[in-house]
Amino acid sequence: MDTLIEIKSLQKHFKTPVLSGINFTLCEGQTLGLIGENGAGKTTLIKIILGFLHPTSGSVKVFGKVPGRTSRIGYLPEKPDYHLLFSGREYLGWLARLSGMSGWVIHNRIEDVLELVGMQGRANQHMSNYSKGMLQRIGVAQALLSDPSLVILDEPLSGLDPSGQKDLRDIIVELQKRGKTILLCSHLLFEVERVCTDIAIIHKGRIVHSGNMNEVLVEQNNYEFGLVNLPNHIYNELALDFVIKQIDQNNILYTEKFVGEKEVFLGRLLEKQVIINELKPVKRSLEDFFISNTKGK
Amino acid sequence: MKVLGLALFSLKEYVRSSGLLLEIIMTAITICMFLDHYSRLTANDVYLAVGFFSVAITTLTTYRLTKRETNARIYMILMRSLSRFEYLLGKIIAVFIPSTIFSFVLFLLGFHFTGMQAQYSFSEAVVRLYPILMVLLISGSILIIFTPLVLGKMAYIFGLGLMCFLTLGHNEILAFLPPIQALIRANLTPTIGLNLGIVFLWGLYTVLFFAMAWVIFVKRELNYDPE
Repeated sequence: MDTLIEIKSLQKHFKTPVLSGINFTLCEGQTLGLIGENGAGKTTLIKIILGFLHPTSGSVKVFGKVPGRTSRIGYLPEKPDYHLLFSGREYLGWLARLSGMSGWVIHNRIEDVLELVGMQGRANQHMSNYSKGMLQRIGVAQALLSDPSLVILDEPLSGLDPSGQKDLRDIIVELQKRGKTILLCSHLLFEVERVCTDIAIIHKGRIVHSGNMNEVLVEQNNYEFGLVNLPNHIYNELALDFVIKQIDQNNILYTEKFVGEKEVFLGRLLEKQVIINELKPVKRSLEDFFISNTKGK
Repeated sequence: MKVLGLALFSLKEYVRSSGLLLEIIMTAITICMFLDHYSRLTANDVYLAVGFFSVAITTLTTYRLTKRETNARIYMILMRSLSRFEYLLGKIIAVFIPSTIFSFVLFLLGFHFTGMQAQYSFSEAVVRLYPILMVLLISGSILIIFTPLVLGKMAYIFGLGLMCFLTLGHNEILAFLPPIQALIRANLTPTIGLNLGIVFLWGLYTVLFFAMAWVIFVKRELNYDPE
C-alpha cells in the first residue's frame, strides 16, 4: 500500500504548543478516524496536511511532497461557508472550472457527484435556501469534484439530524467502495467506530494511540463464550480453576491468565460436553477506549 | 484561464450580492458634478476627471469585492485549486473589469457632451485612454495589499491615505515617484521621453506592489479558527 500522508516529529506552536511530536502515516485504502477533544489539535493537523498552516518543526509529506495545492485531495472543512448566491450546480461548475476541468468533463463530473450526495433534484436552487444537511452534501460534492484519491472530512456529521448522519455515513461507505482513502475527523465516536478501519486519538496535541480499529478495541486476554445451556454445577466447577464471569444463561466471559490457558479451558468445556456456539474476543466500545486513553491524562 | 475564471466568478458573485449599487451611485454623482460644465470642458479635463474617477472607483470596488471573502472558510475551498498568486491576480482582474466599464461610461459621456469630439476622433480618444487603464491596474495592485484579504480592514484606511498621496504626489519625491496624476496626464503632454519614463516607472511600481502583496499573502497562514 502506498503511503499518502507521512508526518514525522511534527510540532506546531502558536502562542503555546498546539501539536507536539506528531508521528502519523495514512496509507492508501485506509479510512482513518482522527478523534480528540475540542482543542486537541485535530483541525490544526488537517490544516497542516493541506498546506494552510506551516509546521513549526518536523516533516510533513503528502503524496511524497511538501503540502500545497493539489487536486488529489478533496476537503470538506468544519462548518464550511459557501458563496450562497449561487445554486449548487452553478457553484460546483465554477469550482470545476477553477480546478482546470473543461467542457463535458465538468458536466459529467458534476452530475456524478450530485448523484452520489443525493442532490440532483435540488441542485438548481440557490444555496441560500439550503438546509444545513443540504449544504453539507454540497460540501462533500465539492470535495469529490476532482475525483481525489484522498478525502479529508472535518466533522462532516456535526449538526446533522439522525437521518442526515445516516445519509452521510452511506456516502462515506460508498467512497470506501470506490477505493478512496479517507481521513475523517469527528466527535461522534459511534459513527467513527462504524465506518473507520483505523483510528488515531489526539490528546493535548499528541497522538496517544493509533492503529487498526479491530486490534485497538480488542481487550487483550478477554473472550466471550456463547454456550448452549451451561449447567450451574459445571460453571461452579470451572470457576474454581479459571477466571470466568457469567453474563447470562448462555454467555460467559473468560479471562486468559497465561498464554495457552484458553486451549486448556476449551478442552475442559468439550470434556464436559458443553456445546460452544461462539467464541469471540471481547471488544470495548470506541467511547470507552477513548475515555481510558484521555481522561485525566 | 484559472485566473480569468476566478475573476469572472468573483465578479458574478459581487454583482449578485451588491448589484454594483455604490459604483452606480458614485458614477451618477460624478456625472451630475460635471452636468452644468460639459460645454466648457476640454479633452484634458475629461481625461483628468476619468483618471481621478478611476482611482476612486477602484478604491471602492477593491475593498467591497475582497471583503466578500474575508471569511477564510469561504476562500479556503477556492484555494484548494488555485495558487495564492492566481488568487490575488484574479481578484485584481475582478476589480479591474467593473472599474474599467464605469470609467469608460464616464469617458463616453465626456466624449459626446464636451468639446472633445472637436479635438480627437473617437478611436484616437479611446487610444489615449491607455494611461487610465494603467491607473486602474496600478490602483488595484497597490490597494490589494491593504485589503482584508492580505492585511486587514484597518489597514485599508492606511491604503486610502497612501492612494491619495500617490495620486496627488509630493514635490520632494517627484523624481522617483511621479504622482499618479502625472501618469493620467501622460497622454496630454507632448514630452514623449518623460511620459515613457513615467509609464515605465509606474509599470515597475505596479509589479513591485503586487509582488509585495503576494509575498505577504503567501506567508500568511490560512487559519480560520485561531488557536
